[in-house]
Amino acid sequence: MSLHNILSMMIVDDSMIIRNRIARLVAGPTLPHINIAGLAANGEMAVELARDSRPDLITMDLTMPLLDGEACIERIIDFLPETKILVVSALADKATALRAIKKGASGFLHKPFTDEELLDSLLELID
Amino acid sequence: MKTLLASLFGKYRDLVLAIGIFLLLDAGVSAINIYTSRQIEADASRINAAGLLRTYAQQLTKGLLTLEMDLRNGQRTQSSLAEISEARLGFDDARLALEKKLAQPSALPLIEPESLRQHAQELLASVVRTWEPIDREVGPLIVNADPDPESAARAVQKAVTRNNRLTQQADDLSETLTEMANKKTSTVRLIQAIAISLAFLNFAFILFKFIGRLAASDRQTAAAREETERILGSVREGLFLLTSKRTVGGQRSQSLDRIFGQQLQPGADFLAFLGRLTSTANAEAARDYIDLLFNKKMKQSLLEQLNPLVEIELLAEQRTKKSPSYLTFEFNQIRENGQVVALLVTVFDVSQKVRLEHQLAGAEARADNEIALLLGILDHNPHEVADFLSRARDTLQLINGELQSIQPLRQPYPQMVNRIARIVHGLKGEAATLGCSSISRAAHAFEDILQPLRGRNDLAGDDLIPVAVALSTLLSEIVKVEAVVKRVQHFAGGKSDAPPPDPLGDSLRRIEQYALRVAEDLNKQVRFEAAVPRLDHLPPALASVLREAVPQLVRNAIAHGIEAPADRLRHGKPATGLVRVELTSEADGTLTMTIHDDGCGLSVEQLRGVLIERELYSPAEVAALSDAQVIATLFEAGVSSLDSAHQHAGRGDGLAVVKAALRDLGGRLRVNSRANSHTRFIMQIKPA
Repeated sequence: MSLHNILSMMIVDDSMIIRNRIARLVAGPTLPHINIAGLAANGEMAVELARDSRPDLITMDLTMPLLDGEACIERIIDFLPETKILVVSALADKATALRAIKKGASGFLHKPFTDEELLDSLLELID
Repeated sequence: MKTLLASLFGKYRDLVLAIGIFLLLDAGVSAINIYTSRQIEADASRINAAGLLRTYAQQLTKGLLTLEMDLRNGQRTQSSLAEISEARLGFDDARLALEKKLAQPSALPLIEPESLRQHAQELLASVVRTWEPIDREVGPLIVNADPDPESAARAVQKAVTRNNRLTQQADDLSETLTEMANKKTSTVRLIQAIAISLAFLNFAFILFKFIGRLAASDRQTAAAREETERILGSVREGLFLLTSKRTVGGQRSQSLDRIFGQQLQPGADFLAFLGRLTSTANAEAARDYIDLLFNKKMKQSLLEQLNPLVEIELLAEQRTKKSPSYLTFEFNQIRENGQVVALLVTVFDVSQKVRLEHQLAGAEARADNEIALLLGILDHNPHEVADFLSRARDTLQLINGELQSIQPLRQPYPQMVNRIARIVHGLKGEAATLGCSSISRAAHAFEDILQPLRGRNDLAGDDLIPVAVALSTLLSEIVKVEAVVKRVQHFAGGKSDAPPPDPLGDSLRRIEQYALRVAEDLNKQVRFEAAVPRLDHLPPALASVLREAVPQLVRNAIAHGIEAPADRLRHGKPATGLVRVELTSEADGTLTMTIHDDGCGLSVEQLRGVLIERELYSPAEVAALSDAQVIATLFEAGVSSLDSAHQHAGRGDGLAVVKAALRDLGGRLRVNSRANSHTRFIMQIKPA
């Protein structure tokens, strides 16, 4: 993790509703202070943003336009090996989740998720 | 290492102790042996010294006698003096050595009793006392080179008188010392014997204890193995260990072979086995998952939700009749010193569970259907639905009676099948109009059974068995819906008994709903228009037409007339097709009902083709028909311009039903059409 205590986080999801929901939950009192380093709606944007802002945490959708989550994880982990990535996906098949973990993601959360589930997953990731 | 040693000492403490004692005893015996050999040496030298005292005393006496003789004979005295001197010195040396040896108190009083030593000292002292007077006489004698005979004679006298006593005393001393040595030897031997016996006892103890321990441990191991075998033999789940090399361990439950329907050999490559058992996708996901399981950094909570081998379906070719079709695998990490060294794999046969879940899902879908049925009916006047249902039931029961009392004549069978087909088709349309979708589905299924029988002239009684079965299915569906409707009517408390204020409008609204549903099912877009006068009550003939003929014609208009939206746009028409129903009444009471659509129109050429293709007419017969005659065939049973039957069209019975209904009412049916423009069916009903 980063040297200073304040963590930065990037949210990658093609749905604006999901992006806003995650951002709102992260700002809540349950989690330690986390700066939102950026929001990305597709994989290519996510890679660019990650290069600039070097976030500590990322929530990542798998099915996205331009560059899908799996490829995106692979590219980001390549230059940010310490960054923890939480896959947040509606895909039901576990094979995809397993491939994402294999490529470097640290956690997995099924859509649809409750507020509590997301917070638990993020806390586990920071832990 | 430390803990290993501690446990070793803990478990084998008494053995280690016993072996220690054994070694100690051995060392003790060896020490005693060494000590004894030293003592024997010392004892021998003491006995030897005592012997020397005797020898030198006698040598001195002999020397003195020789000296006296030499002096008497005037011979030279040097050699006798030298002998005397040597004997005196030898005696003194032996005496001093012996005194020194006996002065030391015994190192081991048990072995060499103090009393014996003191006794020996006393004996030595008495030897010395006897010796000293002789020594006093001899001393001055040997100092002189030329001794006087008197002194010599005195010395001889002293020596001779004391010689016997001295010899006796030296012998006593020697005997005592020998006795001491003997006693010591026998004591040491006794100690040795005791020590060796103890060592033997100890050895026997070790042996007994060790063998006993070994046997007990063997028994324990055997019992544990037996227990393990019993567990593995009777547990219902499949159990085995998966090594870090992804191979199957040696111990496995017997149920495994039954669960897999094939042998999973110890040492087998598990991933390859899985690849034969289930789909490639499953096997690949399993490989990724097992890799994660062997990664000690992965979190348990994450691993639990990622297991892909939950309720996996086995490949059909791997299954036998009795073997399971769905399996769930559970993996438990076995950690040693923080490392995952193996996985405990538990395999569950979940076929029954999956089957039940499927059944439950099916039951839920059916329940949903039944709710949809209820809602569909509630959209309509229960009175009307009940009326339809009771008519339908009566009609079908009539047919049922006919089927049961059929005569073994061939001729009526094809006609009968055609009649049943027309009735069922009519029921299907009415049921759909009234929202009774389950009945219209059952009627459609019935038509599927009737279809292959139509046009066959070689029908036998046996061919009608499936017809009877389908009929009873349709009947039971009707009875079921009837029961529901009765409950609804009962619930409404008879309030719906009042006739609707606008019966014609109600009927047309129902027909509109039906039209829109048909269009939706066929992926077409339709706008429904009605231009009718308001009527307070429906003449029976019109009610019949609205119930039977109009839905058929509207359905035909959408299924055959209105084109798909894309086709319509290509022909320069709006995507949404128009179906229009008009009713006019003339002064004489004649009613004219028109069903108009702006679809593709009737194509006489296409119809000719269909007639030939369906082998309803020979090509020559078709060629001989006029266009009007070709169009007239539309009203014959079994002609449809569509290639395949779906629920809304294609069997060719719709127009036959309409024609039959109108004929019963004494009405007329005309058709008017232009290609790519419109089709219009016009029904005229004269007042009764």
